[in-house]
Amino acid sequence: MKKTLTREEIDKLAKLSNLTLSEAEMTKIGSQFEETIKYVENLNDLDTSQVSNITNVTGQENKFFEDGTENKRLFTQEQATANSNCKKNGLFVVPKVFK
Amino acid sequence: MTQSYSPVIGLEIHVELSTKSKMFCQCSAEYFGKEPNSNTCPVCLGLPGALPVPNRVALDWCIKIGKALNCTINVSTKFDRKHYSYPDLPKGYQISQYDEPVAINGSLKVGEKTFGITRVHMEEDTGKLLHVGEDSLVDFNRSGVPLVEIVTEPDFTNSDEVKEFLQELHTIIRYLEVSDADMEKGSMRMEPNISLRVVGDQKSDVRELPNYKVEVKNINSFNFVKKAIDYELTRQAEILDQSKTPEQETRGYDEKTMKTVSQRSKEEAHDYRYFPEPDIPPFVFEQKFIDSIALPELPTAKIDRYVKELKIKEIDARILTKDFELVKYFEKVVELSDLEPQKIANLVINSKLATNVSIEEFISQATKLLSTKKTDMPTLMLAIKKVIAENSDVVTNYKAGKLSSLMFLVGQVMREMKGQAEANLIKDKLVEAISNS
Amino acid sequence: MNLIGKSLLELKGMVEKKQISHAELWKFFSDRVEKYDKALNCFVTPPSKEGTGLAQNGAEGFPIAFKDNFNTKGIRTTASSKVLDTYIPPYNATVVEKLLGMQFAVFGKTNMDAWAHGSSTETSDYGPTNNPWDVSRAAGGSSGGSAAATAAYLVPAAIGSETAGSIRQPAAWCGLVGLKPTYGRVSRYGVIAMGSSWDCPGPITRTVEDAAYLLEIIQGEDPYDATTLPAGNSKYEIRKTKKMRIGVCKDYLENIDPDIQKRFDETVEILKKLGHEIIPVTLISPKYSISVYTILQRSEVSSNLNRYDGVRYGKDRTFFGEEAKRRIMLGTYSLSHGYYDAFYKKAEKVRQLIIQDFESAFQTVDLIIAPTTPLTAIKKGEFEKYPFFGEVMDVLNEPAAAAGIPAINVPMGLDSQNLPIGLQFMAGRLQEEKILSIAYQLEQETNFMGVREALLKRYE
Repeated sequence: MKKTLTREEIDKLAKLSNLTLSEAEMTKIGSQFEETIKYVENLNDLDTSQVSNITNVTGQENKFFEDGTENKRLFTQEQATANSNCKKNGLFVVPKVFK
Repeated sequence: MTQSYSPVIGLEIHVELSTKSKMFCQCSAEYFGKEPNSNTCPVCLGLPGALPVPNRVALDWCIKIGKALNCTINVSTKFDRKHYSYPDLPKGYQISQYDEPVAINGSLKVGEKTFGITRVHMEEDTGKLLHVGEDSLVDFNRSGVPLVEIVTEPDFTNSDEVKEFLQELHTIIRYLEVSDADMEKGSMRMEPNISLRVVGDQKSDVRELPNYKVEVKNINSFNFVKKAIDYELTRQAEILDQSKTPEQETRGYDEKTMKTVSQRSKEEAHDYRYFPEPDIPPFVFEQKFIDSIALPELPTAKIDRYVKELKIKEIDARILTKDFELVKYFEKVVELSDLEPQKIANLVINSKLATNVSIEEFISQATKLLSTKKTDMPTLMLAIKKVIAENSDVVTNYKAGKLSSLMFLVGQVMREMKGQAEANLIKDKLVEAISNS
Repeated sequence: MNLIGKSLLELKGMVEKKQISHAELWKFFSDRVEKYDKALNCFVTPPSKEGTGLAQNGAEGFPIAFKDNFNTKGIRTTASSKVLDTYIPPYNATVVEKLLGMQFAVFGKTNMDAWAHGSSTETSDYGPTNNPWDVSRAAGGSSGGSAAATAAYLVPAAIGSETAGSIRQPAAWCGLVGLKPTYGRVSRYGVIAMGSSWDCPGPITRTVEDAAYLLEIIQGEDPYDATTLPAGNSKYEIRKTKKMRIGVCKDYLENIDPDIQKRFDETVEILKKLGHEIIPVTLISPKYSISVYTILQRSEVSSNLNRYDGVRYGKDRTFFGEEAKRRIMLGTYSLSHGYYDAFYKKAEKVRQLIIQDFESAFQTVDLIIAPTTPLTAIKKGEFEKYPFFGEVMDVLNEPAAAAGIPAINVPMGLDSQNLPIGLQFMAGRLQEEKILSIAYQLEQETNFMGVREALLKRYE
């Protein structure tokens, strides 16, 4: 398993994660990555060939709510937009995107 | 040398369900026309700490759609997170399904051809991104509405097939009563993936797919389906003629120019980083539960029954069964009257009678109209002659001005005709006969 | 009236008997916050000083502090990150609702590692929380503020949350009872998500009975959280002195501080004296839990933090701190195409092994005892040396977290540096009564070796 990440790979990861990293952060995180990945490879010590399909940690299944249940959490437009500092006519203003 | 090409088209269709609640919260799924951001809660707004809980009916309806498309319904199914960043996606991921969808391996026969259905799965809708002047704005009223995604095999070879398929699918969805499936309102959306295969190329296996495909978005009505696909096929052929390969990308259909326009490159396949949704335990269905999800009689079966049992001409059966509301009305009329189904069909198809009246009213009007056509004139004239002869004193009274006498005579003729003539017709003929006598 | 050191239940009793009012209690604790919090920095949003705090319906309420990752309607909630510096929730977490319904009120929001990423409360964007035992040391994390405030008696008890150690570890470093319930026992609705399949809200208290009392209030199946358990409501009869079989696994005793080892051995003797049976057990080594936890938690973190884009609330992603960025990046990596099978899927499978491992161990024992941490409170700044500090420091807490089983920290005296030592008990899923009962027995027998009183002498 490859341990060293190229600068290009870190760039790509940052893009996927929607993050901007400074030069210093790129270098630091890059090297720490390697240490972490090296450590977690110890999982290969353990044989998991007999482990069946993963289920939820609680082992539960089939949890739902019934369609049409009363909505006790509805926000007014005021409440929904209260925490935004970029709104117009009840809509959230976002950075311009191409259609 | 120009090569010849064979289109390879697959479809991705999204159907917005008409449940009462959204997919993962109790906000109303009816968001159309509401004030912006007035139909949200912590869950569909993607607030910190909010959690999704699935809507049971939405899942049932997804199974219903899968069954109607002859799919295998998976006994185990689960939700997964699909990650990408876009302003209308509040959580930065969409809760969808990846490797264990609700339904797989189905098919739909349209006309003579059968098209493969790869999968049918459940997911949530995004908010709505609007462009107003310089601004990009988002309304989350629609965020979280249940969406069923239907993916077909790349079995389509021309735009007519696609259009017919979509119309049939639209009809089926209406029959299931799970959605309006209205392309203009956005409750049914369609994106074709289009490419061209070079025909007669000895090297390429006819079963191999071309090494690129173009996704076309923003086709907002049935009418544009054919135009958009045909434009795209021509565009791609021109590129291939130059021995180049069309770029793998997403394009948008522009209604005004009637062309497809490049949007963003798809050359780098999205890395959606799917993983099982930890906030929602998986589903395991008992087979008898899956079996219990009832389907109504679907168009194909209905046409068959109309032809074989109701003795309706196939072409008429096809027309009738396209509209589910009409079908319901028609079948009620057939059930409650003893009029001949083909005759009722004729009345409806040829617009001889309106169907926006009550069933009883329709039956009454239909009965009149139909019995009028059945009147045998010689028999009627004989009956009138007989009644005049047997009721000469009543005739005299009528001639003297007693109108009620006429009604009596009409009644007598009706009895003679055993209901096979309509009152107004009888009256007219009687008056004629009496004045001629 | 000298209230210092009284348990939550004692104070509640006094309120019921009309010996003291909510308002007087509020003032008492507010004054202490005023006096001591500058040196400790327990609160991101201190309790309102104007009058009392308000419970439901505007009534006065009993003071309880909440870690700042619990959405509290109308009260700023930051998860100790500048990204949410201005976020004022329009809704309450279920845990908050339940407590408000029992006449509690929000007595401030406590400091934590930003986004709960850490085991020392040093990654907070609002400064670290200092350990009340020695302010040059970390209070532990990520629920450091809740622990420090409760230990120094700035509040009678606090609610924290644990992903893997974030309740037990600060409780250990501050000398308190810290309870991590069974995953699914307490609703996560309204708790800012870190590791969705790991997060457990839970109480940090001075006494075992306080922890049991609070658990009974906050537990239960929630229609807003599909991972909560139908069997989630229980009554805890912790005064029953049942004799139990207690497992010891030597892997959990590797590389721990000699003082902690010594106290561990002493405690084992006490338990024997109380009539319990000590049985050696074999478990999968905790070092694998570090890997499982690092991969799965960071994967879930990278996903859960995707919603913070500054559009609907808070600030944009440039306000994320370094630790958050580091964890997001590794999480994205583990989930990305080509690496998913090797990392995420493999870790999920090992997690199943750990779950099965505990299930089989609990066939032969009722409880497992271990130290909570390998070291007592460390100096601030030490964490910078490690690339995955949090995960390494919580090695002894990660197995129980991975398995979703309940565990409790019990403060057992001080070490040679006068810092609290914490030991823990783990039990099978939904067996909180067992760990609460054994903790209660130790409390009755040893008074936790005077830990609680020792600190209060310095915080009069």
